[in-house]
Amino acid sequence: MNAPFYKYDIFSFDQSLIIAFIIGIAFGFFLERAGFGSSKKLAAQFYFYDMTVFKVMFTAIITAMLGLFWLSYFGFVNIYLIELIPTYVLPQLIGGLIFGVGFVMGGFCPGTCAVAVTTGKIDGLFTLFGMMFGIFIFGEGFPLIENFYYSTNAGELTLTEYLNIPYGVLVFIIVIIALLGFYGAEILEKKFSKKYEKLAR
Amino acid sequence: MFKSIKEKKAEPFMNPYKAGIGLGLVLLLAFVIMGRGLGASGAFTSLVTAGVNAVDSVHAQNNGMYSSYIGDGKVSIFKDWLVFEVLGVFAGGFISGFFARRIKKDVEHGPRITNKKRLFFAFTGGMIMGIGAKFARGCTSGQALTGGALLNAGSWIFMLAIFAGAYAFAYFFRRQWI
Amino acid sequence: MKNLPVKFSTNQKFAAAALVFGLLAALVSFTKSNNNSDLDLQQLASLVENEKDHIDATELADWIMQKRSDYILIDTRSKSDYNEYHIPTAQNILLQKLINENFSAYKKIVIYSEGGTHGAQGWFFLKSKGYKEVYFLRYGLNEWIDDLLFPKVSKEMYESNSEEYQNIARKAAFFGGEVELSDSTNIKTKTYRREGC
Repeated sequence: MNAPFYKYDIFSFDQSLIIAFIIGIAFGFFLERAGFGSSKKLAAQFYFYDMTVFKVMFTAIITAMLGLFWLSYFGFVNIYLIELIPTYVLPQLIGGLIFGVGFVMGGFCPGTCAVAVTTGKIDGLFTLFGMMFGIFIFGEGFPLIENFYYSTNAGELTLTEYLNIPYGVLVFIIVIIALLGFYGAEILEKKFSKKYEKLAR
Repeated sequence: MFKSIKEKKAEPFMNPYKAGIGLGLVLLLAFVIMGRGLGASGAFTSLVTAGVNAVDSVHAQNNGMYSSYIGDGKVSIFKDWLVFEVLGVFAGGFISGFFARRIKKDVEHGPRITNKKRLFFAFTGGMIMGIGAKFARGCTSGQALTGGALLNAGSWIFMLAIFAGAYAFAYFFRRQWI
Repeated sequence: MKNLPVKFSTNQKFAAAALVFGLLAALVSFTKSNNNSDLDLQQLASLVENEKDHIDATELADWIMQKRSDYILIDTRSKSDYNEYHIPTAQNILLQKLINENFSAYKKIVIYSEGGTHGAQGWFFLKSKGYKEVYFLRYGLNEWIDDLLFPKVSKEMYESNSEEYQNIARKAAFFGGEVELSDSTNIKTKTYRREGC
């Protein structure tokens, strides 16, 4: 096998930048197609009347997850060469909670606010500036939180290792959870959009 | 896709499951071609780092966060995979929005709030989000989507925490949206 | 707004496909996990590259100081070397004997030799026997002596008496060693690596 191609030196770093741009275009394209250029639609997830965020996110996850499992199984991809961000339990937990608050407040995540900006949303622009300011604050305050930032490092840890469940079984479990989630999401949407009928698109 | 240009009307959004599959395939492509996933917050960190470095290079080099984005200083901060990818995201969003006639100058918000207040919350929310993303080493694109598909333990923790935090505080921001 | 019956069945098709592929994935992994003797070289190589195959002296010292009971520490050197000095709590098991021992009672196996080579080789033997958590001391006993027992600190660090210095000194003393002042001023400064996206 010779995939991931970049890890087998099939092309150079400079060429990978062009590929990055193309992949980014596809990424941004589908984000906008899903309606994620709209903060109202994104925030609606947390009021249950539009569960598009959950649906898109988890569909994407199980699509890529299944694709990767089977490509790996048939020897087309060496999954061990795919970069895994190390697990830092506490910072990622706390970071996630903070991020969630910011998400429901701002109505965007970093990727979607880029899409919002190029489709004319001024609130997207403000979120983008806010985000960069937040990154700046973090950078300036880094020496203060450095110890916490590097705490609880579990290294590169996958759920298969941590839960000690075989890869394929875990894939199946997540697919089931996602599908049940979609079913539940449809029900919640119907129930809550009656409530907020005038606001749902 | 082209029908709406003739009709000059905003297209309805794509079926979320279809869009999700599209997104998932893009992610899979990134795995297969590059051996990495997608991302967003990192590119903005590069931008901030470049700015700080331009103003006070010594301070930036001595700072743990900025220095990790400056690297050895021999390569431009912007010559980075994520930076190019995010530029693509801007472009791709525009392309999709253009063909769907969804490009419109707008400040989106619910009926119970003014534009000004919305923009304030947008900025503040963005700020909080940026801080959260830095602690977690990523955002919904890099951690939740990418790490989710890779069954990365930390990413799943992060993703669940996002939903928890957002749902917990949704009540306090309801006036913005509904 | 939406043509519900038509959209619903498309979604159902997607869901069915996901379910089928997921189920197959589960079944397939059951057949795979039946051979415990499968030597997955790819996985081993990735462990090595991701540096999950070794621990360093300070981490091992922490485990010993914490009186952890979930690991076994193995010294692969000769009996006379072992008797002269060995890392506290280590057992003396030579490589020839190592490959026949049963370590299933322990969660983790840590193995060291003089310089690290036999430790690495022992690591490979044990991994090929299917043990999940095996680690070796990358530079062996030399690392233990140089980094932990007699760590070199710069004069500035010694005088600063910072928390980091105290940690290093405390660990060294615990095992009967002591801090050494180094004259050179090129201290390894912490290099920050970018992680995440």
